Amino acid sequence: MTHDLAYERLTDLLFDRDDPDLLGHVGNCHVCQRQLFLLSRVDRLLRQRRPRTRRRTRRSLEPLAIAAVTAAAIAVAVALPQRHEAASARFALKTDGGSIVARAQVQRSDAENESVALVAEGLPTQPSDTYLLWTQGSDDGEPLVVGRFMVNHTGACRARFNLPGTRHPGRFWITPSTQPAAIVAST
Amino acid sequence: MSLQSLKTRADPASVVADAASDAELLRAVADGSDAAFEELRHRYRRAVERTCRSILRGSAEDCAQEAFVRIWQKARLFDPRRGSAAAWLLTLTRNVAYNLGAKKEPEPRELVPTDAQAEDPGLSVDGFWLDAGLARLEPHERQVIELAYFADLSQTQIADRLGVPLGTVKSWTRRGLNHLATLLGEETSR
Repeated sequence: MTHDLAYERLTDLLFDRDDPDLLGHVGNCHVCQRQLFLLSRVDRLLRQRRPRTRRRTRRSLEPLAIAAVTAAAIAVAVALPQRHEAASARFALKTDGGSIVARAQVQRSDAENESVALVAEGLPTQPSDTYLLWTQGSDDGEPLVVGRFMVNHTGACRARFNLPGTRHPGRFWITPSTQPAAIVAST
Repeated sequence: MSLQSLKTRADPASVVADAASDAELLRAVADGSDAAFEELRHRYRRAVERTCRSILRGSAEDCAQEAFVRIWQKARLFDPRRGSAAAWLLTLTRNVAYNLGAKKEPEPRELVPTDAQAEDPGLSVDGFWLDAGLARLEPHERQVIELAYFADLSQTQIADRLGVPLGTVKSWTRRGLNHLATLLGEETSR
């Protein structure tokens, strides 16, 4: 998918039309990620303006607005080809000192997908306030990026990532986006 | 004082590009540009009226008129380093509305915005800006977005109502939302 085509079709993500090719491009394109972030703000403003009696449930991109670029996670996850059989699992991510700085819950969202809900608190905001959530492939054990998220000034964040139900997520860990080798917390 | 009586200075720019930012328009208004003022009024008329209605709970006509008079008079005071044009316009409009409300209502406590008002998206800067952003879209783009979000119609229903192919509705919606997002990005990056 070309950048121009992906950029034009970003709005499809507001209307529950997930396209693996589109998500794959967004995951690697900062221009599209920024535009998607702005689109989510526009979408939220328009929905707020909607007459209250007519408001209905539509995909809310508020978590994306907070985490800025969760689409990157979706794109990476879409490339994974196997089926996942676990129904639900919770993980606490701890620092080397034993402090819990984040919790993740992996839950089946439909027949083909799982959602990863991440709640972080007290992550350091230096040297970077943008982090990567990693997991390990069940077959080859290679590290895989689940998603990228941004914390606020207190180091807190709520983000949700989408994973096709294709594997058994095992260990999770968090690194600064600028230092993928520096593990801040892990399960 | 009427707007017409205020606009007596020579207009340095006979044509104001639609692409001019709000801050650029305010600077041009400060220099006496009628065209810039008209463009600014086109963009923010609905936002100003909505804010006036939210605060005064009634007719917004006098308030909006007074707000635009103030904008014309005080545009030179706008400093983009201190905030966005939308935020400045919203603050000015709020002040006008509260002042008008104070003249009608002797108890100042009742002029403090309630929680409900504070939650009114029309009273937030982004909500205030939204009307101006919509005003800058092509009419057909604005129409499909308003039908989708405010009338809660599906794109198929919009196509039926407008008598255009579904693909056209999708295309207009995409372009309109992307245009709004781009404008919002420009607004917040200044």
